[in-house]
Amino acid sequence: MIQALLVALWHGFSKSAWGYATAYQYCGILASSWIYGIIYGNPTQGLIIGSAIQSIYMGLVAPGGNSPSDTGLATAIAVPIGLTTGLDVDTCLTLAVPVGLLGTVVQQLIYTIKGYNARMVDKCAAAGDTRGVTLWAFWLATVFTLLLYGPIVFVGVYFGTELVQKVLEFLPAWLTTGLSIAGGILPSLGFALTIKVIGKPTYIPFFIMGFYLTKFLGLGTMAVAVFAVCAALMIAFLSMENK
Amino acid sequence: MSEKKTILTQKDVIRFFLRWSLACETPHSYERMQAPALCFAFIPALKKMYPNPEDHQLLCDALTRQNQYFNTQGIWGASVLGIALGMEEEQAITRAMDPEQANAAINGVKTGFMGPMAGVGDTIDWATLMYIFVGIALPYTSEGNPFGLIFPVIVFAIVMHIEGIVMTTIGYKFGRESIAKLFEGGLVNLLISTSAIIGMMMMGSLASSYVSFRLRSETVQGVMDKILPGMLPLLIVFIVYIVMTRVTDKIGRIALGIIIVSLVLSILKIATA
Repeated sequence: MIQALLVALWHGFSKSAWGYATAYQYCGILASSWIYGIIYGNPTQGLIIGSAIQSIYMGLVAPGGNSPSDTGLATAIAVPIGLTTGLDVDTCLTLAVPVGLLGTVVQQLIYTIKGYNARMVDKCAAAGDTRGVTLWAFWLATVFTLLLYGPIVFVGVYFGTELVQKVLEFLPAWLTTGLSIAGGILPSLGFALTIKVIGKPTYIPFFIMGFYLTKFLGLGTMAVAVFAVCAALMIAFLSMENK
Repeated sequence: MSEKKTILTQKDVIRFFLRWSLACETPHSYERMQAPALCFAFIPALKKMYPNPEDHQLLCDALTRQNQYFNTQGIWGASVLGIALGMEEEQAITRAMDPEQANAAINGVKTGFMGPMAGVGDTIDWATLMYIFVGIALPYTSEGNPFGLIFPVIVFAIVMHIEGIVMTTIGYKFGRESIAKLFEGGLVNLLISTSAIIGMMMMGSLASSYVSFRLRSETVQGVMDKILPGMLPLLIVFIVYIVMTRVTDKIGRIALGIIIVSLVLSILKIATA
């Protein structure tokens, strides 16, 4: 009970993302799963589940705050349930995927609700009420986020454990396999979205190059980054010389 | 030309960025996106620009101006904030523009730059830098070792703050001088295309590791691997991209479609996990 409450509090707080430059780290999948692990007295296993969740969401970028999947909610539900029921890591993942998708609906809800805060900031700004601006733009925005996400996570974690166990017993093999297949395909959503946001379809050969640098040569992110920066600089210098 | 009059110090500029960074995503809404956070960040600077009670209306105008629709990436986009800060200071000193002109000029620059800078920031910070750090952390965290987590978190936070402060300061100096300079020489375009190349390659590399799809039939899969390994996952990324650009941009719907297709492929025993 208290543990579910703590998880709900942490998730609600992490959703208000204080400190943009650091929030995605200290509230990210890895850090959060470690914290949930501490709450349930098993940080090691929490982090292991979190690492598995992180790896299915690799490459996920949230352009303009529109995430294709709510990784935070997926972590907040899947890690505690995985820890209390002792599910294996793979089963935790099949749990995380649908929760993450559900989370995007909640995200839409909170983004709509906070429009009210923006209008209140308008009112305070027009009156030169700087305290009011701080209250609505920062403090109350945090409170609203906490109030919306907290209960969802609490209910999910507190009642979810038993429910999930029962549901999992009844799940047929085709469904779990299907969800695993979806887990393999879903990351493509994030990559496609990033290609779209970058907005230069003519640069797709670079995408294929990065793809096969890793597929053929097995290079990691750091090594690919070195090649990418060099390729980008080469092209930049060449285009400058041609002017 | 004589030395320019200034109101803000470097300390004020840093404080401005830190306030922005603190609140940036907190009041995010569909209606205004990050605008209230920007308004919040501007409070001390604007108060310093308009200390006199008779300028109260100008302070109100400026605060209202900074609560208009705004959305960018918080670190590289901070250069846009810096520009806005510089322009506000210029306006506070010279009072060259009437309120309507100031609204149009300052918000015009903000909305013009927020998109491109967000694109640069998303690819460099979130698609490249962050995944380098996650890449360092994962091997350790997969074994449950928290030190693999703490070190990258701290280093990443330091890098991001330095980046953000530098961006804000550069933007601020541009804002005090002339926006036109940024457009001159195509520097902005060069930055955008360079970061686009880096982003594309990083995304390709990550897609290769994390998009997976296997046919159930080992023989067919084996033949495909011989021709060109990874061609199915690569194809999937492009199919999703085409659906996203040509059919629907509703990500939730595409995700649902992927799950339905996966279930069908599982029932028909075509694909396997």
